[in-house]
Formats: sequence, structure tokens, C-alpha cells
Amino acid sequence: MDLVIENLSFLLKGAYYTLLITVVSMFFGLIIGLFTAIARIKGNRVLRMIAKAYVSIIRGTPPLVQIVIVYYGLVDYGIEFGPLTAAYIALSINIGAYVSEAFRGAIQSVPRGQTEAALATGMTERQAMSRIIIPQAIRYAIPPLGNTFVGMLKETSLVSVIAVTELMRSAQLLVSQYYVYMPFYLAIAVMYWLMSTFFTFILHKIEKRLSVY
Amino acid sequence: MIDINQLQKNFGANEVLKNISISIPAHQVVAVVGPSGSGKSTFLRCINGLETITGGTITVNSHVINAQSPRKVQLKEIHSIRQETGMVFQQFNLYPHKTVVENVMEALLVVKKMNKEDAYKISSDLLAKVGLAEKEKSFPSQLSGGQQQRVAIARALAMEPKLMLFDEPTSALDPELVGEVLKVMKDLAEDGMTMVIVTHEMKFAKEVADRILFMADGVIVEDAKPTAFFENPQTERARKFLRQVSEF
Repeated sequence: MDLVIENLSFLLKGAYYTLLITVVSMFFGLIIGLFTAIARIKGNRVLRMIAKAYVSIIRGTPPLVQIVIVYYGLVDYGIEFGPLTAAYIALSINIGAYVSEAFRGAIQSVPRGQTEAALATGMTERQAMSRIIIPQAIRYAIPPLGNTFVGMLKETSLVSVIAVTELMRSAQLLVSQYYVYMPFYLAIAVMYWLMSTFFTFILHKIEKRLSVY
Repeated sequence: MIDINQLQKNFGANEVLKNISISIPAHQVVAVVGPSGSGKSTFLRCINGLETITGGTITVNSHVINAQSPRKVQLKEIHSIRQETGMVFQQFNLYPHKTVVENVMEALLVVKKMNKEDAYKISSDLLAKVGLAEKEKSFPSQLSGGQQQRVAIARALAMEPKLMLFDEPTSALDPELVGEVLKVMKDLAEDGMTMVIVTHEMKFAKEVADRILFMADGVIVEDAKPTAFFENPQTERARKFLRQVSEF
């Protein structure tokens, strides 16, 4: 326990990176996911197929494999990223696929009559989508997105394999320094749990705020 | 105002509208009646392009939807028609995430690119006209069905349409709320609006409409003045329908 307290600032720095990677990946993941969802619903055949293949491949392969492909694999083709950048890229692409499924379900759960009402007033398909459908879909999407977000927080531990010193790797480094396992691993478990709980709480707040109508 | 020529609409192998031709002049109030599944709603939804037509042409204010022309050309025409046509739905279809006044303002802001103050002024006046001035800041879910439908009418009127389409506007309402919606529609008819109303309210049709279209099995079986239709229907199909609706 003393060891944990002694090294708390080191662990907190790890937690900071975990949070940073989560937030950055989620941000880009949301953008990728929204466009993928729209492509799957409204796109032409080619676009739909590309979007579908992307989601299928990402969901059908382990995130760890995706991370090592981006960091180590692409080097073979002369594409080299720093560990942190590779983590952002791999996790954004990964999360985008899951986000797109959440959005797709949400967009489809907005009643057809909403689009018809918007079109009937003279809006274009695009205006109806951005002004009427997506704002409603976002509310439907919050619960599944929340799960995805918390899942992402935990998944960031995988990027420890490409030497990003996030929370997991911070603990590993301390373990190899002091040769004790349990205090450090227990400490980061608690920290992951606290962060997950905090985010779940925030998401509940947002959900409540959005459900005024 | 509306000129429909040999309109056909199929859903797969199912012919819903069979060769319908009809003209509706400006300022006329037309009630479309008939048994369910007769194609009334589909007919109405073809007029503003919510259904893709299989054959024929629909002309509204010189904009022509021709089943033969490429989809892109059709969509352009449909878009022009929609800007001059208001529509009211059975299920209201108000935007639940926007307040009442925002519902009415929306198309003015997005389609007409009007500034907020002007859009608000118009919307506020229209809400007063349908008797809902005090509900401006409410959300649709806080309103009764009758109030929601009146908001929907105000929303459609905001674009200053030359033509209003009503798709069973009172069918989803509790009986005691029907009257307030019909009242607004009656006022609109008296103001000279061109209206096509799909309805089951025979009394209203008789009282307000200038003309009745009786549809059955995808064709217009009778096209007559209300008194003629209700008192002296020409076909057995219409007589049977009127017997059935008057049984209650």
C-alpha cells in the first residue's frame, strides 16, 4: 500500500494517458461512426458495401491485433507512427465501428413519419437528416454509446503492448521495478473502476438532460 | 391547381392506384372518402411525392411529376411542389425535440432561410390563429392530440402553401378532440384554401367539402357534389359504403 502511495503520481500520470486516449479516440470514433452510419443507411451501393465491410472487419477481429497492425504492421510499408498516435488511430477506427452500429440503430428507431413531415415542409433529405433525424437519434444513441465509451476506457489497457505508458503499463513498470504485483494491479483496478463509474454517472446526467421532452 | 393524368401506383405486384385522372381547381375543398385499403392515403401521398409513382403524371401549379422522367428530374419537381404544399398527417408527426413554436418555425428557418425574428413572428401569429398562443414554449408531448394536430396545421401553414393535404387528420384523436381540429380546417376552407382531405368524418365532408371523391379498389368510383353523393349515390359500391358508415 505504501508503495502505491509513494508512486501515486506516476500512476495518476498513467490514468491521465488512459483518459486522454479514451477521449481522443471516442471523439474521432464518434465522427467516423456517424458518417459510417449515414453511409450505411443513405449511401449508394458502393458506399454501403464499404461501410458494411469496415464494420464487419473491425468487429470480427481482436482490438489487440488491430493495434499491432497499425503500430508494427504498417512499418513494413514505410508508415510509421509514434506509439501514442498509433493508439489514437487504432482505437478511433475500432470504436468508430461500434459507434456506427449504435447510431444506425438509433437513426432507424426515429419514426419514418418524422422524415416525411420534414420533407413535406420542403426540406431536402439532407436537411431532414441533420435537423430532425440526427438530433433525435443522438438521444436514442446515448445509452449504447455510453456502454461503448466505458468499454473503450477499459480497452485502452491494450495499448500498453505498444509501449504507451497509460494506466496498465504504468502498473507493469512499477511491478517490474519492485517485484510486487498485487498492490499495483489492485490500485489500477480501483482507478479504472472509479473512472468508469464517473463516466456512467455523467452519461446518466446527459441522458436526463436530453429527455426533457 | 392539381391535374392528375393516368396515375398508377403499384406496391410490388399490388396495384394500389389504377389509372386515376382528375383535376382540382384552386380554392376547391375536396374530401376523399372510401373504405380502408381503397388507396385514398396513397393517392394523397403521391401528390406531394411521398410515394414514387409507377405511371402517369401529376401536375401541381405547373410543376410536373412524370413517372417516365428520370428520378432526379422528378425529385426536383417534387421539391418545388412541396414548397407550395402543406401536409397534415394522421399521427401529427410533430418534432418531439422542439417546442411548439420551434416546430412551426423550422421550415421557415431551414427552407426559406428566414431570420429568427421574422420566423418567430409568423409562427406566433399562426399559433394564435389555431388557438394555441399560450402553448408556444411547450413540447408536443405536453399537448393533447387535438392541440398537437392544430400545431401540425400551423406548421404546414407557415410555408404559405397554395394547397393543403390532410391525411386522415382526425383518425388518431379521441372523439371529444375531433371538433377543435375540424373547426380550424373549416376556417381554412372558408379562407379559400385549396384542400384535399382524406377523411372518415362524413358529416364534416358533407358540410365543408365542395366535392367528394369516393375511392374503392384504387379507382375513383364517384366524383360528385356532397349533397348528390350522400343523398343519391350512383353506384352500388358507394351505397354499400354509406350504409356501413351510417350504421353507427
